[in-house]
Amino acid sequence: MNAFVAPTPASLRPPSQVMRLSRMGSMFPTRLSFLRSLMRRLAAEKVKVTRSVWEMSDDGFGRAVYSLDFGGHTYSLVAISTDLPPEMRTDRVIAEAWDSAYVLYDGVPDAAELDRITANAPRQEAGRFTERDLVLSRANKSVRLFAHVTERLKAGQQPDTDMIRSVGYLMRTTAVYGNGKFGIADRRLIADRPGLEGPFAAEMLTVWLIRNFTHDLAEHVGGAPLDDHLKRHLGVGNSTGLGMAPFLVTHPVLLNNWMLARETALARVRAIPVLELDQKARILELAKRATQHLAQWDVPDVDHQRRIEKLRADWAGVEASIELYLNQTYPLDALMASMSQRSEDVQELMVSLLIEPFGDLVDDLCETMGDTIGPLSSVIKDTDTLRVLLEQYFSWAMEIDFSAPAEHQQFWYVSEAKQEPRLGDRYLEPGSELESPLDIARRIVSLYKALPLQNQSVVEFSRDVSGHGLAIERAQLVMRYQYGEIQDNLVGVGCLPIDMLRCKLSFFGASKFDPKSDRWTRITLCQGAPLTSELDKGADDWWLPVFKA
Amino acid sequence: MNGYSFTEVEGVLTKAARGSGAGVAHAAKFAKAAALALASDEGADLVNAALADLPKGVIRDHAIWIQRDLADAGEGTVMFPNGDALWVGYIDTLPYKSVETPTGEIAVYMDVFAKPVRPPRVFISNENIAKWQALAAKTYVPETEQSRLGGAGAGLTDND
Repeated sequence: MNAFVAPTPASLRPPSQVMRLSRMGSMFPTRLSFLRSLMRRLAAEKVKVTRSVWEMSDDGFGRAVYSLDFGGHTYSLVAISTDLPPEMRTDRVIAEAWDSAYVLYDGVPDAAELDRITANAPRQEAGRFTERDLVLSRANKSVRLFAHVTERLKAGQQPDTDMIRSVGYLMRTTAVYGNGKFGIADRRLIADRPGLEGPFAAEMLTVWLIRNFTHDLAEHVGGAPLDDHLKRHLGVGNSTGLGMAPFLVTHPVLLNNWMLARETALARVRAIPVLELDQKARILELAKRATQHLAQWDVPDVDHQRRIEKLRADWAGVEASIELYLNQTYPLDALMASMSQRSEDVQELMVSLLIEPFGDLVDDLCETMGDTIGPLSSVIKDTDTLRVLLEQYFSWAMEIDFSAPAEHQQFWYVSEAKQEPRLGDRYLEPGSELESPLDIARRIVSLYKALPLQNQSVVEFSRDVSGHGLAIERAQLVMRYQYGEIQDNLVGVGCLPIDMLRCKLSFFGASKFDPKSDRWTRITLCQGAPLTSELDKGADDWWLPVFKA
Repeated sequence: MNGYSFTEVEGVLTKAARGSGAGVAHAAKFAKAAALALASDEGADLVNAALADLPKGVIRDHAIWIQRDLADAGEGTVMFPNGDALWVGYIDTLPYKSVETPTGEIAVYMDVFAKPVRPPRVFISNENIAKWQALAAKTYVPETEQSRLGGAGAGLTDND
């Protein structure tokens, strides 16, 4: 394989191109995604998962504990399955009961700790947790598939492969809480542990273990084993709503680090002068896999299905032409450049594909995707300097005409109902005076307009003119974290939160995006990922999983 | 007294400060500093006094003073006076190494980055947490049927 090729800064796609909502909403998972990097770590340690507790009724209600040693620590997933009336089954934050609840526990819980978790986990936000509890989650059944699988198993048959392919999971999580929520451990307390340093590593570990539990539960209720190739395609579903979107705005350092890692990976592979034969073959194989994956990706939403179908057609043309570029010098640069007139969906799929075969060239970037220190602000001494900086880095915001009502028609807010994040119409709904501060572009423009003609220190300006603290803070960050700002108006009528959700979920490693509106989506995690019994058999070839019946 | 995670306390105090009239950036800085200050005996009183003084008082002034001194220094070492637990909390949340000097000042080394300090638990009385949650609730939008049905863009049952 090729030696490290350092990209020049000019070879990175600029933030003005990358940090737009529509492009972020076109992203696919890559080998840098958190689930992928976690699975590589688990496989490198040949982690063994053991099931020490299985107290389950015949119809699948009870509790279980799975444990594993990882990075010098022992962790356990406590899973609790309960009988949920259909009328209570909602994936929204405002739900109060779920089919199952989970805690990732630090160590192995003794009987008292297991009872404590069993009492609290099903209550989720209403429960209380301790620093031994690292992640809190819950999941609802795919009623249709879970019933089908267990009925088939009871009848001595394997489930219908078309149903496995079309649904793809037995349960879907509706929240995976980390970092101190409801009393669980702060992220900082485990951030230095081997294997858990990466963003959302503990959460991804939880999701992978939940997937294993859902397989076990279906086999228990069905009374027979599922074929491994079916289990491998049964990931964990996830319903994600607006709560995920603000994270990208309130964590500019993390957003920068994720996007910069991805763009650096792309720049590195574009800088490869010549491809080896096996590399060419691998790229063609993956392009074909992408075609098969797209063919298996169907969603009920008419508009999104149309988009997928267009991508299928466009990608078919792209796949046929890839080979033409592979014998050139700087072949991947030429191939990527040839995408410039293609849709953002095609371009971002190509980015994901090009990174995939070059683990030895890009996998080290996973270590740069966390935020160990926190925001490092640049000092801006005076308002003239601040003005120049705003003009240089926030020209995209200046181009938005905030005198037009449509440009601030939406407002983000937190409802008093279980603090569910929501989005409202400023002109039709009450509450905009309490809006959450996600209107970065508007605040930047407001700051720019408020700057005095006479130069003064930024500190004096901050003291004299209130209300611009957040905008100044973002300006102080932008030089160091140039990929940390979404370069679009997040309160304009054209803002589609689904774009932010897809960006973040692609970094988790999600596939099969299944939008239910412009504000929430279902996805699949861990589909194609190794089973707990397969970590020693090669754990890293499940990019864009394809189901082989 | 009950134990809470640092993130929980930071979250409720950010909202409590905003609900009491602090700007977004000042509220966030205050909450981090306050969550550290609560480890001291005087912490809760300092936090309550700071919240009561809004929209003026230390929640605005501490952040501005520290910003001023860091800006003046540019880089290198900045000497801050010592102070109460909340003031020290503000300094300890900076991403730089800080040490107390023999003369009692606090030296902040802007060329040495430091990971944030996070106690495993923050202990708070029921009375105080209730007070701060009530202030935080001032940032929540009251429930309406329109908000419940349309605000999240999702349905109310998922039995498929």
